[in-house]
Amino acid sequence: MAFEKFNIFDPLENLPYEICEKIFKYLPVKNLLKASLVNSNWYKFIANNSKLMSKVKVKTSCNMDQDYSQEIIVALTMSERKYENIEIERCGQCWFPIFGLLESKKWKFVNILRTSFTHPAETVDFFRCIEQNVENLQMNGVYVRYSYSDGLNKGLMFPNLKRFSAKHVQAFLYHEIFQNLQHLEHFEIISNDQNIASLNTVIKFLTVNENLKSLQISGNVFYQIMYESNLVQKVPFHLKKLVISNGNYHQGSSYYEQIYDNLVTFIKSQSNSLESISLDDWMGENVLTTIYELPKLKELSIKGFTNCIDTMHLKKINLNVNTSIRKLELFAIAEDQLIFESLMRATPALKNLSLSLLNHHFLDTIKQSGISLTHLTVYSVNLTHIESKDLFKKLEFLSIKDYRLCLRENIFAQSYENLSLFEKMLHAIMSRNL
Amino acid sequence: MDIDRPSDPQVSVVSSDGTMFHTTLKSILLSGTIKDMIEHIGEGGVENMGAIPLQNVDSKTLEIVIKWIEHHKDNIQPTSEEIKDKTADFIDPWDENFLEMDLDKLYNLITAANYLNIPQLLWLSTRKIAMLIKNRTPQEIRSLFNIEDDWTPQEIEAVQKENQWCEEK
Repeated sequence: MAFEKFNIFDPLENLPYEICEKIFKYLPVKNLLKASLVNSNWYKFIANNSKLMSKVKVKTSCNMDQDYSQEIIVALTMSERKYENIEIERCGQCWFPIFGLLESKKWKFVNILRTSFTHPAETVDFFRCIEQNVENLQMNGVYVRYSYSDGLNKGLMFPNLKRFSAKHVQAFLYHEIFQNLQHLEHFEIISNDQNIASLNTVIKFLTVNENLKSLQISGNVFYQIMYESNLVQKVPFHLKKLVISNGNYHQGSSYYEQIYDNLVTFIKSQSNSLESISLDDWMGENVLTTIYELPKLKELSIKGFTNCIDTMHLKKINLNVNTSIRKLELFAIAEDQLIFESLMRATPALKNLSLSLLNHHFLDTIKQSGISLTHLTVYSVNLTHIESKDLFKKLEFLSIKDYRLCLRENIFAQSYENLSLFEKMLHAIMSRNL
Repeated sequence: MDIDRPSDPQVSVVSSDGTMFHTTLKSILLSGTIKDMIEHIGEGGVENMGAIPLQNVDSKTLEIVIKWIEHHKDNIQPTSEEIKDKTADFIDPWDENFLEMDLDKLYNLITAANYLNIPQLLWLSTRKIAMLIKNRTPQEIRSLFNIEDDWTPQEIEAVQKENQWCEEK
């Protein structure tokens, strides 16, 4: 019939809604957006489907030096698409258009980069627009220029916020905007700011967030908390993951002893839940021994074996050999350090090992410990002519099924030939084991 | 009932338009829907069970489904949970070839795989449609599926502009 629509092969008209959703879910965002252009029906289907729209992130900038930015913000505000993810970069000067955009959608994931607010009232207005819906808030470099406190409780609750990541965010924001956070599951704070006000807010976060499962914190903040507070007795959460990154070491040794003691107590208090730990340094024998006693630990990463008072006499240490650690990442470990031997001997179930340097000593030690690795990651390898041939032969025993080489900045790879030979060798071993 | 027995008894199914097909128990158990039905019959039921009526699948489609399940009856089937995370997996050339069919047949196959709950076949057939959409321009998609373009030039320009500010999460 002439007046009947002729869309006989259109999947949207031939297949149930759930099946069409399935089909579009296979498409990468680029193709999904292109498919939106087919006709208004396809546009609407994609625009209204939250499973599909959750894959899309909109990027905005609110820099009024550029004429287009206001145009984009208006277009996104008017759009029918139910966006959930937004990245806001370099905002400043004029906030009004972006408030409209923020209010027009239910933003679940908000990422704010290199942005400065002028004064507290503007900051509050901004966060009030996303307060109810945001589930994941990430900030990197966020400041308030005139950061005076007006003494008013802003009452921002963020009832759905579960993941909160703040890198280089002014302390002011913690105690004026984020003072009431209490549903966090993931909390990440990276800061150079050792200002006591932000420290108190962080301590408060840690004492009220019962559901916290993952804590990522920069060393300078965490050590100061460990030094100054008896936090351990107050924490209500059970962490699965603890990451301590980039600490600053400018303090005397008695300061560190106090920190290490408190850290041991803290780790013990989390022993029934911890599955993954990453440390910027090994923190000494007591901390390592405590970590090896954790019954559920699967992953351990230690980024250094240097900044520690007893580096000079790194010796064999007796670690619990019943550890359940499967994945170990060791950086900046010197080849003559006996601690590598201690670690290998104590981790018989190890499957996945990452090393900042692979050399004879390490390979011999792995072999002697009888560990059968399935994954090996190497960041650097000594490939000088004299060393490499023997080293390649030694790889033979490895039981790896997968490997990763990250040798881009490899200062030892004098010879490109040796490097490709090394890679070929690993590949052959992997293929043999598969 | 022990459905893992080594012998593979005959089972009959009847399409919506009344055609009877004979296949084997092992093959038909790839369908979650039929597996549930058979598990409810109980001990020794399979031999005495009559033909299974499938009111939502016509004979042309059922023939295609049976060809697929018989080919795959000895393969371990992924669960729907495992398929959820599946992306650009290797596709068996036999399957690739099997899926070369007209769109209306493919749509019927998808609907049948969904009704019969055969996760792997559903994954293959829906993925096939996605691959037809992927890397085609909007105009190519319209001609492929015979879809009318109802945009005004202004509207399409606006969506194109909007797309520039979107990316993969």
